[in-house]
Amino acid sequence: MPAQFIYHFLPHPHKKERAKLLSHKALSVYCLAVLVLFAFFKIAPRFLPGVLGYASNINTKDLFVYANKERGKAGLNDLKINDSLSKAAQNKAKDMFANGYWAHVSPDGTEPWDFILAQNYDYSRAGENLAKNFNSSKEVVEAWYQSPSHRENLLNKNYTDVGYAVVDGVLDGYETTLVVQFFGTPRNPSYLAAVDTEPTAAQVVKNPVELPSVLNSSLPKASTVPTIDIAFLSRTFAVVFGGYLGLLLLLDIWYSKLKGIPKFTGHTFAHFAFLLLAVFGMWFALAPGKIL
Amino acid sequence: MNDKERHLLHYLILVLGLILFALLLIFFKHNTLIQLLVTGLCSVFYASWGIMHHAVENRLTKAIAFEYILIGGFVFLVIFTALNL
Repeated sequence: MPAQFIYHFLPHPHKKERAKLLSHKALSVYCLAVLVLFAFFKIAPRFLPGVLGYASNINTKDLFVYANKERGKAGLNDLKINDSLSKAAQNKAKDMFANGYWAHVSPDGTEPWDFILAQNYDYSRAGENLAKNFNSSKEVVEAWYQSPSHRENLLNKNYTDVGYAVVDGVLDGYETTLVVQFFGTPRNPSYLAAVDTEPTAAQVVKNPVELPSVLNSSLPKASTVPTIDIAFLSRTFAVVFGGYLGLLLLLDIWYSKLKGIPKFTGHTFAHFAFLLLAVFGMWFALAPGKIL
Repeated sequence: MNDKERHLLHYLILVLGLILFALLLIFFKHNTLIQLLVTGLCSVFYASWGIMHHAVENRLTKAIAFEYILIGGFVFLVIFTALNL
């Protein structure tokens, strides 16, 4: 019995076939298991809202600093925090949680500009960037920077003001943090008078006491710790399951060579290389959050 | 071209293809839809590579073709799941 059990992990020298855990049947079960896992992640939040989610530690100060840093690199002026835009961004984020949507335009047709105008910010130009499911402020700004349409907002020389909201809540059953960034240029330049003395990005880092009140007041609200962090779970899954299959494939290569087992199967090394790509993709290439 | 050279050439095509797909996944890191498309194409590429390679080597059977399709499908499902969470 133990001799037979070992062939769950090693190729059989007489039957000239792969380990049972690499058989077609086993591979089909793995595919099914992934589908079941996917269904679980989609259905579970409906019954257990807030249990699954995305751990985050995002704050408006860092968003403000990183965004202006990117503008500085492009030789552009720093954007200034505008209380009205920040309030509008807060309302937009709360509206998305309240009405369960993730879009520039709400299901009832409310546009980003409606939130801005409701705060009496009379703009000549305005823009909106959204982000969710990110872990850190730096990742959010990097994601915006790498997307052409979001970068266009971030590096638009015509904007003078910016407002941020970082709001925690449960969206579609998932505990997450929504980030809203509103850009604006007031129609009347005198509107800027209130923010003329804003510190530069560099000063914000060195002297947080001088941060605009909107930034400081948002800091404590900017982190979530769900019971189960999906980002951590998917990476762990990639390593554990990838490692398990990778080990079986390596055992197959080693044992077949050791015992001279001529199997009439696909190439194990090719499978191993392809699996490596999957683990690599899960670990490095998949983005940590979503932007809109 | 002898058997060994042909075998090496096939593997070179596979490795270069996989590297290209890995680079595309990184390049489109923040575009889920394109990453999904890249992953799908990569799985099709892999299954096609396996089937064609074994066909050229006169070793192709239904079981071998099914094995490559299963592995390609499995990797697609794993990344599809991760992209949709």
